[in-house]
Amino acid sequence: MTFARFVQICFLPVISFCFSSCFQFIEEVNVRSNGSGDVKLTINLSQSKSKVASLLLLDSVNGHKVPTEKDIRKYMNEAVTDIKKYQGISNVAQSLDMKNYIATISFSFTDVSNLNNIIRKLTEKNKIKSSNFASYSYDKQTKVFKRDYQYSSETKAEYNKLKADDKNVFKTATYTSIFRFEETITANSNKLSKMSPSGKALMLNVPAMDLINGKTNISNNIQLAK
Amino acid sequence: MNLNNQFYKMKKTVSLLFTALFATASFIHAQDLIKKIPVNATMVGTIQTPKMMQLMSADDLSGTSAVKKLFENFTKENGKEIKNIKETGLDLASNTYFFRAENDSVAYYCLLIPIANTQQFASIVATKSGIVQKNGISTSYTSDSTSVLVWDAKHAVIVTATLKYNYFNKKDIAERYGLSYYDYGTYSTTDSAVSEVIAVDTTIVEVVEAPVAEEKEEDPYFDSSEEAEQKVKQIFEVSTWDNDYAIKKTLGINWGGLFAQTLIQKEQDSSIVLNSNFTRMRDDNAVAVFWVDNPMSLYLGSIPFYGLDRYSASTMLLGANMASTYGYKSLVSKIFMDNETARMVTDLEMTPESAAFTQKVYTRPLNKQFLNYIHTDSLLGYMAWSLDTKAYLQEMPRFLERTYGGLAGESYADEMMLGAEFFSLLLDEEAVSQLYKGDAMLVLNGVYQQKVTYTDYTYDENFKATPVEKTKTETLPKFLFMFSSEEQSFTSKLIKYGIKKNMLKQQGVFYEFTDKRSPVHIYFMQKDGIFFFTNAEDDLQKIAAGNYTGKFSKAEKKFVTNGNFTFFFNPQRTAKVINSVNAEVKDVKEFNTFVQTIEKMGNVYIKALPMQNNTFTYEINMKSPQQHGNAMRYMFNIIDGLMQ
Repeated sequence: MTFARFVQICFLPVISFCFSSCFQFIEEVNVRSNGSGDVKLTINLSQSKSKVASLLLLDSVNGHKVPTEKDIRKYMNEAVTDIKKYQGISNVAQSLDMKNYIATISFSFTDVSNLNNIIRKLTEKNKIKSSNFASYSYDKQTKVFKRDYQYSSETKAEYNKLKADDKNVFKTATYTSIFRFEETITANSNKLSKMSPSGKALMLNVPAMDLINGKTNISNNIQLAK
Repeated sequence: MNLNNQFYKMKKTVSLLFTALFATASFIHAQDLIKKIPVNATMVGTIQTPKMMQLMSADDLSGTSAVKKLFENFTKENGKEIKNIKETGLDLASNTYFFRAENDSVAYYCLLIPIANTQQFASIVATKSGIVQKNGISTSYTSDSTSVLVWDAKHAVIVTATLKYNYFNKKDIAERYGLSYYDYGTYSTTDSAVSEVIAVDTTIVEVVEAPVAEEKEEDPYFDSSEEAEQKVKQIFEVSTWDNDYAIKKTLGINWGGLFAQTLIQKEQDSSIVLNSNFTRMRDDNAVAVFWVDNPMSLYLGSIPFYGLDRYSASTMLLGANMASTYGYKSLVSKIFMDNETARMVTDLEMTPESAAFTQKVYTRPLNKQFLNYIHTDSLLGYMAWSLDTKAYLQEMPRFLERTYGGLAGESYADEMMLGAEFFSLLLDEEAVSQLYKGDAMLVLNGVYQQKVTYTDYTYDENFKATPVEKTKTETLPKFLFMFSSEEQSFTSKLIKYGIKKNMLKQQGVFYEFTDKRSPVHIYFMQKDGIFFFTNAEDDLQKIAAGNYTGKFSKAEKKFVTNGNFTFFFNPQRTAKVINSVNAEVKDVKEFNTFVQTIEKMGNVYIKALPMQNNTFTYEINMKSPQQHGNAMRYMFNIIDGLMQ
């Protein structure tokens, strides 16, 4: 143990109070006319990097084991190996920036329905209880892309089980969803969505707490130009 | 577990009555129950209630959240409603005492309470089991039959008796009381018999003669499988344990009852007032005094297995030597309260052996140069200590040998001694003490602002994300850690090694740790025989250039340099800093309570004074902010804040 580490550990209880702990989750989906496309999922903790750095020096926080960098890399590699197995999925890649604490996973799909398969399998694998679910569909004939989202009150119940400090992590977190298309968007049902200047992309940016409390519905029916 | 439960329940009862004692307006008469405490009591606590009443009236005290909560709990458990401490019947013109007395088989924990109004007192302490009255003396038991309360017209006593494990694990004693005997030498249980316990009697212990189990004939339906045998064994063990528990509980309550009756009926022929070790520690100015004779012995005696045999875990941990020669002779804590300060002074009298060790270790004074780098106006707190590293390292092997020499039995004492010598041989005490002389100071010196970059995104006309670097400012508490060091050669080699391995970066005359994962920048340098570590680069630059302007009054300097250990905390300023740096946790109720509580607190000082007459003295001072009037009101205000 270096002295610097010793001092840091001594002061962590003081220091970690002083850092904010907000994070961004960004979901980017590009959909081509034939229903194939790419997905990029990003978790950006860089605004909280001082806090993350201080927490990584601890063995556990609020009773949770703090993963090491090795653990995180292992988890990311396992996620890539898993996703590669799913039908219609290719170009799976991951990146991990441990200086700014940004992690991404990206892959390509041959059909939008492949995304539902991934969500279902990952939910089963990680034994996530039935909670908020989103499913995606794209009708090549009608040129309608749909995201159906169903809020489950279990989400809030699970959130309420968390300790106060753990709850805090979500209070300043945000969820950003971006859908990009080759065609121009002629209509969309979600009023919170923001249209890009090009008219071919939609962005939805909501606080994570709104999703947890069911205040915001992120479902959308997007009509593309025929 | 049984003994712990009993003690816990007693403490609960005691806490209620203590609080009730803190106030009443009935200054009718004064009595002193001290002569009821036996001369050989090992622990005595004195609550100088009249002194307390001068600081806070019964009405005011009854209105505090802490006392209200106690009343609520009391009402919930006993169904009796109390609104004011005046309704308890307690005599607060007199002192209350609690003490511990013991013999070879039992320890008694007792609370002596003066009574002003017997009727009122009786009405609140009556339990469901009722009150037995005989010759003007009333007796009542707690609902769980672990403590007994006895009172007459002028005073009451609560006694909880805890039996000594070692005594009852002797074969002849176990047989006498019908208890199971566990032979730890062979790890086997030789059950003396199955006993039956009759109902609790307040004066006589009666244990029915254990019937001898008849030998059974072979049962054709008897299941002799291993599983069945195990099951039978479990049932047998549980019932044996239950039986032993019942016997001991009966003994405890009966002996406690007898002891309580004796206390009520007469004063001791040889009371504690004849014990000079106790009387010289009394202090009429204190609101409370807590005295423990031979605290190590008391502590070890409270561990059931201590001294039982060589398998005893506590013996192995603590060693028999510690209790006898290497420990403390007595401990006295006194609490003083006045209009400005709440103060607790603790005197720890050591055995000559311990005192000699401590005296040698705590000879080094604190480096006064440290005080040049403190600024009172921004100070949140500090902690300073000074010992002589060389003396510590030289004495430590002897300390270990004495403390742990007996832990594995006499046969290993020689090996322990050799180990201690070998440790001493390996270590160059002189060289280590040059690197770290033994005095150090940690200072929280206000706050500083740290610029931090982070990644955000900008979006093009098609919402394609491009990462951009942004900067934000984080406000952090400044720390400065200093220790005296005269070593140059080794440290300069270590620094060169650190730079070569990219662990350190030189910045002029000081260095920075280059661990990218570190949430704060940490800088250090060695100057004028002091090592400085800090997260405030500007301050270190000033210290390096010799133009750091400190501000520390003569009185503050005197406080720090006169102690072996000092601690200071400015809660109000710390609360302001927390509020200024941390917007995120403001929603957390507990955190807000903490901040709101410390906002109201006065400065806290702790000091360990140099040893005198084999006695170490520790002082804790809490300044009472003016608006509270006095320290007792202030303490209750803090408790109220934490309870809301």
